[in-house]
Amino acid sequence: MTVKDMVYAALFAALTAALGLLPMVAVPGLPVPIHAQSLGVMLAGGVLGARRGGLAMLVFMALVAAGLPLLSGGRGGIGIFLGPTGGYALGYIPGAYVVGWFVERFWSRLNFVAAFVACVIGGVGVVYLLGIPWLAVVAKISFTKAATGSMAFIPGDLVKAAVGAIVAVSMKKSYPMIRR
Amino acid sequence: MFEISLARITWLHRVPAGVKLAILAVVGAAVFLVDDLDVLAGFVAAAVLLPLSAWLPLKAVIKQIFPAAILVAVIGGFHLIMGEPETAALVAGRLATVILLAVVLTFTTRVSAMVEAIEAAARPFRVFGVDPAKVGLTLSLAIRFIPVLFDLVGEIREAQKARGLEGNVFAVVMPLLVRTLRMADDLADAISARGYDSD
Repeated sequence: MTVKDMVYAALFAALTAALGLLPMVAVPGLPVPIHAQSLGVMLAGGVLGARRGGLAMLVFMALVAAGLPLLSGGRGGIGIFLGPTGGYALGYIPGAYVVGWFVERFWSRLNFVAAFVACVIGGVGVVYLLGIPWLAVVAKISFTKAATGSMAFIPGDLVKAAVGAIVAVSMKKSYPMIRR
Repeated sequence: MFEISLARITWLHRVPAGVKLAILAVVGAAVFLVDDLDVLAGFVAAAVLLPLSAWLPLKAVIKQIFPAAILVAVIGGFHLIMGEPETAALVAGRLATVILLAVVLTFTTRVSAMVEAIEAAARPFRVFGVDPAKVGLTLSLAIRFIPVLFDLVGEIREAQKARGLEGNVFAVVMPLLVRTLRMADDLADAISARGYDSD
């Protein structure tokens, strides 16, 4: 781990915490507001790349587990990871890594569509891949029922993926981080 | 630094963080192996008595467990509707035990003690190239910069409010990212300039 890896991971963990301060934010052209904090996973991967993005989420979750009230609404503590939705919280770590992995692969020709696909696979797919089985086991419900219950959050997550994709593409133009 | 743990010292504060984490892990695994409702009731009773014995502030505890409690109630309710009251009790009892114990740990353990416990837990991973000192420094850096980033978010929102863009996600997130990255570059240079051994 280089000094840069450590510093980017630490500052993006702090940034994800700061996003939790924002009330619901509006997406131009859409009537539904979104929670800015859950963008953190896509921003970390999409801006920092796989390794540093994954590290940033690992640091953020470690601070939450250590008892800092960083999740929106001022929640935190190790109980977050032991409850029915613990899988989703843990899923943010590989999620950011996968977003970053795809963004790195598409880097030379990164456009909105490629970045959107990266955000959907990593920031939604991987997160649900851990979250749904976890919920099913802990709540003793069938995998299908857990998946069906989670579907309610898909439209909002797709909006977040679109926001994350736009940000990743504009950041590549204004402050490219990958291959630096 | 703001944290969930209580400033006032309770008897549970004096128990080392590593011990509390180990107990939580063992009890967490145990409740998921227990199928007997009477045994589980004992676990639930202990998990309820523990926060009471330390006089944890009820309001703050409820704030922390509220969203999880709602979800547990929904899951329990679902099993009841499906005509399986035993499953409902089992699932609700297990989750209540684990969540309550975790809340007790969080309220009675300083963040600094937890960071030390994480550093200690990282030690066996040295063989895989993990440096516990770097883990500790990274966590401390993040904790140090949380208030800085909080101020930065406030500053950017003020600036965008003057432009009528306060609620626009891009107008807040883009400058926040660029300024965070600049800060990170300066910070990395400052650390390297002081001869920090990176590898």
